[in-house]
Amino acid sequence: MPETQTRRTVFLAALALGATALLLAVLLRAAPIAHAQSTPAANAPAGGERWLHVAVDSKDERGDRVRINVPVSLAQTVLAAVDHGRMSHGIVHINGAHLDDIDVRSILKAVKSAPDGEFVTVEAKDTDVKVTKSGGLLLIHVVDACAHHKARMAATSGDAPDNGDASGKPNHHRFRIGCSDANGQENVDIRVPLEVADALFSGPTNELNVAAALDLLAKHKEMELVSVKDSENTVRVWMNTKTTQD
Amino acid sequence: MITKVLMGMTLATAVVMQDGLIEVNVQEKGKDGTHVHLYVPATAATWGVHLAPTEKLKEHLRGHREQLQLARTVVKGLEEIPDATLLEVDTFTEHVRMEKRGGRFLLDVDDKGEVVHISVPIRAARKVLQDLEAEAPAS
Repeated sequence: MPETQTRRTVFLAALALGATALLLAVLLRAAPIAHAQSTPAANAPAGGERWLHVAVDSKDERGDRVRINVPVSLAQTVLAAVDHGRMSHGIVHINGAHLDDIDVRSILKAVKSAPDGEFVTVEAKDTDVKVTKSGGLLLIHVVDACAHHKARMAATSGDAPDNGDASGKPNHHRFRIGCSDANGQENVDIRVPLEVADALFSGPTNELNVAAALDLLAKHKEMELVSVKDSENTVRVWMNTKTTQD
Repeated sequence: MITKVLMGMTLATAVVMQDGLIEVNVQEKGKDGTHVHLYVPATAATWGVHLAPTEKLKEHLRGHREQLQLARTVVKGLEEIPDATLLEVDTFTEHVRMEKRGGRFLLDVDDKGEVVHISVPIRAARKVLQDLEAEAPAS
């Protein structure tokens, strides 16, 4: 082969390899950039999409930390698709004993029709539960000094509800439960729109309609849902339109 | 002739790279820790389902159709959400992070034994799961 033709062949082969390498580099960089441009910046409100955030912090020296951020739409999609064990397409089948003989549906029904105010107080030796209605929200505040020994709680006398109390508040129910052990104290605060709580318990007594509750929750913009503080951990669950927990 | 070769190579590269790259990086800790760092075109996975022997594939997927459906639903949901850190766990012994970033699902794990980084194009993962679900016999 003449020398000029050999040089030309070598030149063209090098050009081919260079073009392929360049295209490879461009494709590798272009794919993530194209996707990044089509998705909003991380800290910007996600176009109205609601995000559920969970933050768990351990107070001990290990300082364990968990952070979860899930868009409500993804949670709804996954819930609808799961059919396993007690979870079936957004319905959770529960054992009635999990509610510790508290008739949640009756309480909700009564709360719905009652005016705003503190509605239910459960006073135990080491546990106080207050259920309050305020501005369409169901507020549940629990101070529990025997969180680790719930299995040993035993009913004491006076656990039948009685209407009214010393303060004379109407529709104020008081239940007494005994607890023989105390180990630390746990503060639990739950805020749920009444309609969401209603949707959760809208099915039969052994079912929780999580899908319906989530659908209604998604209509609210920002909200603190759960706060738990005890001597070992803090847990916080909230919803807003941010993709991050900042 | 050379032009045709050049065009052919470019087209082949584009086809192979259309689904992006799967990256797996595992570094074992310790003095003699193994280090594995792979880049695999996701096309190998998306085409692999079609190239696998059908009967063998169906046999392995028997009874897993529901799980594949769920996995595909989750991955499709991931495709539609904006970039975000989905999970972070920081404990004394391990750090785990799951993110969606730039069309990719990223998993980073740092524990006592090893450091792992996995990056998968979400669209390719969905295609693979879709194809596997289509092959999986109904239970």
